[in-house]
Formats: sequence, C-alpha cells, structure tokens
Amino acid sequence: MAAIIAVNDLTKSYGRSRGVTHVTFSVDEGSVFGFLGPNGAGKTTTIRVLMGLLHPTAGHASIGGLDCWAQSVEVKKLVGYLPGELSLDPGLTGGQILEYFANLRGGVDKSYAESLIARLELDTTKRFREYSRGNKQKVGLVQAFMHKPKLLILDEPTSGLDPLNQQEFYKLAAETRADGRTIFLSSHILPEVEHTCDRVGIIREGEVVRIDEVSALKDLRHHEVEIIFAGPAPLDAFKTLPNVTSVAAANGGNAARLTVQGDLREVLRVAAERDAVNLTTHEPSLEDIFLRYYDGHQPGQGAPATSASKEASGVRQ
Amino acid sequence: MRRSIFLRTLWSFRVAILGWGVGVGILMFIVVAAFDSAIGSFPPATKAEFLLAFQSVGWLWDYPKAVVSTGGYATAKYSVILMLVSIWGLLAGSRILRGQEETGQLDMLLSLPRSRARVVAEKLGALFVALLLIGLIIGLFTYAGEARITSTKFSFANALLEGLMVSLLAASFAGLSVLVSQFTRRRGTAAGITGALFALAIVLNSVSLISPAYDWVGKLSPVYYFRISKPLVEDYGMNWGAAGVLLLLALVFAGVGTALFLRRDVGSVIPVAPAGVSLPGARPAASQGGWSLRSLLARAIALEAPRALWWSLGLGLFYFIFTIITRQIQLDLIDSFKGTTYEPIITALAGGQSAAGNAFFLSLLIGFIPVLITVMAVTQVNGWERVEAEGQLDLVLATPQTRAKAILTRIGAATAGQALTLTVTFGAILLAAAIAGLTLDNGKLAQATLGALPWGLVVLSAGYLLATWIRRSLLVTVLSLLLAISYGIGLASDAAGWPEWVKRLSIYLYYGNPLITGLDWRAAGIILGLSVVFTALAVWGFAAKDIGRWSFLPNLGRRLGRRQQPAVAS
Repeated sequence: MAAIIAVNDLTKSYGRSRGVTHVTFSVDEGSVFGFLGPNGAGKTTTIRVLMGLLHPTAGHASIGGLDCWAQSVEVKKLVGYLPGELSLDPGLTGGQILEYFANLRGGVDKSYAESLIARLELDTTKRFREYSRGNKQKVGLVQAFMHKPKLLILDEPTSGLDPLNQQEFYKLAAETRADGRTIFLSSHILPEVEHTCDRVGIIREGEVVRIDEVSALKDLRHHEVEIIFAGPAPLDAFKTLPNVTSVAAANGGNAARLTVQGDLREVLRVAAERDAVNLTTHEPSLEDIFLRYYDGHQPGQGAPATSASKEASGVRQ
Repeated sequence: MRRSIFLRTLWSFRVAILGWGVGVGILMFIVVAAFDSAIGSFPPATKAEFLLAFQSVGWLWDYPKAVVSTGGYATAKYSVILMLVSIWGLLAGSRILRGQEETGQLDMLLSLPRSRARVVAEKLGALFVALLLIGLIIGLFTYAGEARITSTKFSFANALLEGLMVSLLAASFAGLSVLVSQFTRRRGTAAGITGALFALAIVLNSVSLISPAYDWVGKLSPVYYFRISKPLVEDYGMNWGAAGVLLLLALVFAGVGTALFLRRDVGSVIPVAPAGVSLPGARPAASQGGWSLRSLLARAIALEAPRALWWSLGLGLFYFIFTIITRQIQLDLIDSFKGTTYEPIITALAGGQSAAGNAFFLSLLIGFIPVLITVMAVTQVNGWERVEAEGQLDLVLATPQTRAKAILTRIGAATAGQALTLTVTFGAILLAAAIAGLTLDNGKLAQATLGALPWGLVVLSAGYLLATWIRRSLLVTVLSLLLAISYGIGLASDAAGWPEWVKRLSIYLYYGNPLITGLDWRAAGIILGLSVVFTALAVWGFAAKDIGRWSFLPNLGRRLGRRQQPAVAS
C-alpha cells in the first residue's frame, strides 16, 4: 500500500521550548494509525504541522504526496480534521456550524451528514456554547467525517464521549477503514488503540520512540514469569540465562520472579530441571508497553530510546 | 506572588499600568513642560487673543479664563486624553469576571478553597489598585513637567490629585463594566455596551455645558464629576464631593455586580427580562438567516455587522445631537451680542446661513471623526485576534480555504463596517443640519466624514499586521498607546517646539480641517497607500505564521532560513 502520510525528519521548535525533533514515520493508505504519547510529548504539534497550521522548523511532512505547508489548500481537500481542543463560534447552533463548514468544504453529502448526526444522537438546534463537552465533540466528529475525506486526522477523537458514542465512533472508524480510507488518530485510551488501529507510533519528549504493528507490539517477548518450587528457588540458575533481565525471590524464597525478554525455552528447561511445581506468565498489555516508554525504558533495553535505536526498534526511516 | 489572586491579577496588569501610566504621563509632562513656550511667555495682548479664541468655544471648556495658566492649559488640552484611561478600565472590568468565565479560568479559581466573594474582592481590588497606580504615574509625570517651567505653577499634591481623578473616573467605568458583564454572555459585548455608555456620558456632560439650564443632564454622567473637579486649575481646585461621587459610583457598580455574580451560576447571565418575554437579541440562533453561513466573506460580514451597527448608531447619534447643539450655541451667541456693534458680524457668522461660519462651529467636533474611527478599528482588530486566540481559526483553516482569503475577507468586512459608520455619520449631520436650518457645504462635509476612511483603514491594517506577532492581551494596549501617542504628538508638538518630522509622525495631523479647507487628497492618498502596504504585509505575515502562536523572530528566522536552506526533501 502507498503511504498517504509521509513525515521525514520533522523538527518543530518553539524558540527555547521543544516541539518535536527528527520525527520520521509514514502511514499507509487504508490503515488506521494510532499516535500515542503523554501530554506535551508532541502529538498535537505533529498533527498541527500535518494540517498546515504550523510551519516545520526543519524536515518535511506530506499528505497524498503534497507538501503540508506549501500545498496546504490541496492537502485539506483530502483531509477531515478534529482538533484536540475544539473551539467554534459559541453563538452558532450545531446545525449552523455544520452548514458553514459544509459550505466551506463543498461536496458534502447531506444525507450522509444527517446519518452521522442521527448515529451520534446530536441535537443540532442548541448553540455551541450550550453543549456539553461530549456534544461539542460530536459536532467536531460530524464535521470531520461528513465530506467522506480520504484521510481523517483526529486528535483524541473519543475525548468526552460517553461509552455508547465511543462504540459508535469505533464503528465509524471500522467503516472508514473498510471503505479504503485512512485514519490518523491520537489517543490515550489504549484498549481503543488496540481495537481500532493497525499500527501504533509512540512519541515521548518530542521523539518517536517506536512505530510498529499493534500485534507486533503486543507480541514482544517480554514476560513476567513466576515459578514456584518445592524448596528454595534456585535464583542463581536463572541469572545466567541470556534472555532473563531480572531475577527476584518471592513467596518466602520458594518462588522466583523473572523478567524475560524473548522466548521462554531456556527458562522452561531450567525450571523443569530444578523441580518447579508451578509456573505463571503474564503477557504485557499494550498499556504496559506504553507505560514503559513513558518511563523512558524500552522493553528489554533498560534505557530510553535514542535516534540510533529507532531503526532497530521498527521505526521506518 | 502566585499564591495570591490579588497579586497575580495585579501582575497581569503590569504592562497596562506602565503603558497607560507612562504613555499618558509623558503627554502630560510634555504639555506642562511646554507651557512657557506655548502660552506662558506670550505678551498680554497675545494672551488676550488666545483667551478670546478659547471663549468662542467656551462651551467645551467651562473655565476659559484659566486657560492661560499652566494647569488650565494642560487640563483644557488633555482632558480628553486623560479620560481615555477609562477605556482600559472598562476593558479590564469586563475581563476580570466575564472574560475569565469565557475561557474557563474562573472555574479553576473557584475550585480553590476560597469563597467566591473573596476571589471577586481580590480581583476587583487588583483592578482598582492598578487604576490608582496609573493615576499616580500620570500625576508624577505631570509634576515633573511642572518642575521645568517658570510660569504659574501647581503643587505636587494637586498633580497627584489630578491623577486620582483620572483613576476614579476610570474606576467608575470599570465598576460599571463589571456590572454590565453580569448581563452578557460575552466579555466583548459587556465592553461594547460600557463603551457606548462611556460615549453617552461624554455627550451628556457636553450637553450640560450649553446652558446652566441643562446642568441637571450633566449630573447623570460620571464625566461631569470628573470635569467639575480640576485640581490643576487654580480657580477651581479639587472638588472632593465630585471625587466622592465617582468613588461611590465605582463601589456601587462593582458592589452590585459582585452581588449579582455571587447569586448566579458561573457561566450563566442575569436575565434582563421576565421569563416568557423574548428580546430581539435573545431569539434562538436557529432562526438566523443561512446567508451568513455560505462563505468566509458572508460569515465575516455577519461577525462585523453588529459592531458596525452599534458604531453607526453611536456616532450618528453623537453627531446628530452635536449638530443640533451647535445651532443652539449660535442662537445663544446672537442673543448675547444683540444690540452691540458686533451684532452684524456675529449674525453673519452664526446666523446659520453661512456655510463657512457653520463649518467654523462644527469643525472642532468633526476633527474627532478620525480619532473615533481609529478607535473603532482597534475594536475590529481585537475581534479578529480573539478568533485566533480562542482557536476558532483552526477548523476554518482545516478547510480548503487559503489563509489570504481568511484574513482578507475579515479586513474587507471591517472596511465595509467603517464605511457604513462614516456614511451614517455623514447622513446624521446632514439630517440634523436640515432640521436645525444650518447651511453646510455638502461636498466638504462628505470629505470630512467619508474622507476619514483611510485613517480607519491604516489603523485597521496596522492592527492586523501587529496581530501576526503580538498576542491579544498586549495588542489592544499597544495599538491604543500608539494612537494616544500619535494624537498626543499632534496636540503637543507645536507647543513643545518639536521639529517638523516629529509632528509628522502623528497620523491625525494629515486630516487637517476638511470641513473648512477640504480634504488634503494627497495626504489621504498616502495614508490609504500605507494601509494597502500594511494589509499586504499583514496577509504575508498571516500566511507565514504558526496559527495560535505569536512571535516575530521565528517568522523572520524562517524567511531567512528558507533562503539559506531552499532544498527541503519533497
């Protein structure tokens, strides 16, 4: 599949403060890409550069082969956008706002827009200032989807939505993907990313530390293993194994708690030789992986990712 | 500093305190320091002529004999400028509660373990202290000017009292703005209504000067109490009763506003009509016409229209009343010279049939038209900047519209708004003149009113240009100060004996006196040309800037950087 978003060595700095640094990634057409990171990591900065609202300090961002800054008008013909902080004319009703943006965009299928309004149960007669946070978000979502754009860029799209409407959004995202269109979304809700996205990028302190398939991230051979023995746990026997990154005693000395990076065959062999009576493993959730990146550690490496480590960890350069 | 809402709020006013205090203070310093060269050193005969000239428009200054004293001259010359501090007062008054409700900042403050009353009291306290500091700085500069002259002097205490009167007048409008903001959903609406009341207060005060019979009208206006207390003028001095009235007004307005705030929900308004009564402005938004949603230009016109209508109404009414009043003054003059040898001359001048004579009487107030239209331009720039600061531009610019179109449609709509306001003003004067029986040169009147458009446009375009680099909180202060300095230079440069090039820095100088001499088309053309240049630069700056961020150097750096690094991977 061709890449619809291509970000190449993008840097955006705000004077003395950091924005994003040397960010490189691409998003394939027809996929759903999740962009994860803590507050202030640079997610919104990257999105605003893609939308042509910020000028890159260095590097390049393109959508559909078009430069996001120099050809921003053409780019926006391809895109539906939901900003992280939605601000619209407070005196207009939801319906008027949607009518206004439909006129500015052109080519909006009225019946599709009405179906979106119905699916999200949006009351379009209220003024924007009278909407709750969730209803404001619905206005933003409808205006982003209503012209059936080739690419949707959504900054925390389910923020403020109740669970029912979150489910409706997931369905919309699935339909969009099935339609061959692309979604680029930022989110803090990891189960949402796990269910919705094909690929995930993790950004921390302005740098992309990992990009991979969701399944690949989940399948990292990183396990928490607890082995119970009939007698005292032979901790030394595990410390020398190549994939074991940490060993600790538990259960009054009768159990060994291990962190294993990679496959478990050696651990299982040693455990069997030393009369293990029980063994439990815990696979990391995406959240665990995410939190490790937040903490500045990549699984199994024990240190924050650097530019040099990106290629090895799956970032497409 | 950050533990106290009072200190935090006061700190947020620091630029305004210094800007307004030092800016207006310097103007006072100049006019006082220049008194010797302007009036003080005149021979008695010249002073007498000067007095006579002031007496011909004595209804504007009710102390013509004191004009040849330092304090009288400064008060006559700069009373209008001093009153402008009230504009900052009313803007800040609308911002401290309603403005922070709009942005959600007040929710955060009220989540702290402090009572609502305390939060409001600390904010109001900071506002009033800020106004006192502005007055103090103005008083100090005024006295510093006095120290440089040898003519009639006023005391240090009187200089400080003049500053206090400025503070009290501004405090009364700040309090009024806090009160009005309890009834409006938006800060800008509260500021606009209070601004209109400020203009009305000036009109009421001026009406009271026509004749003692109208003195009661003036007493309805806070400006009246500012006027009747003249600490710098020897024969008048400080009127403590008037100062007390202004203080009382400030406290009552702010107190009632606070009481209403304490009783309502945060984010809501006090209803101005009983339930079930629908006011024209409160109709459901859904009933608004769809025309304004069709394009960027239509939306820009819809956003500018209310402001243009209010300004048209305000200026139209203002000039209608003053044209009628002018006729009344002429009749009073004729009456007072009846039976004297001057009667034929006065009748010829003030009889109402001489276009030149009528122009003489009207020209003083017509001279304020460029000032008023430039103030309108400042409010228009503020409206534009608000849209970007609140993030409303993000989604508009996420549609396939160019940035140039986004800014040019707003400038176009604002230009149309100014043109409408000036046209209504022209029509109002024409109508009033016809009713009052004043003959006017309609061509020159059109030049004097519609011809002020380039002045409005140059400030509008300069404001849009500055809005590229200066964030909203500073923009209005900077722009207002530039205008005040420009106006002050026009007033003070002759008296101060400044070189010609300094005088020419004032944009108002080029307006001249079009009702008498006709518009200086060359000057108007140059000002219009400047506004075209500023507009082009504003479009260029807006197209290059990061939306929602304000800084000059990154833009400059980007331009330079682009030339040095043309090859960005594509």
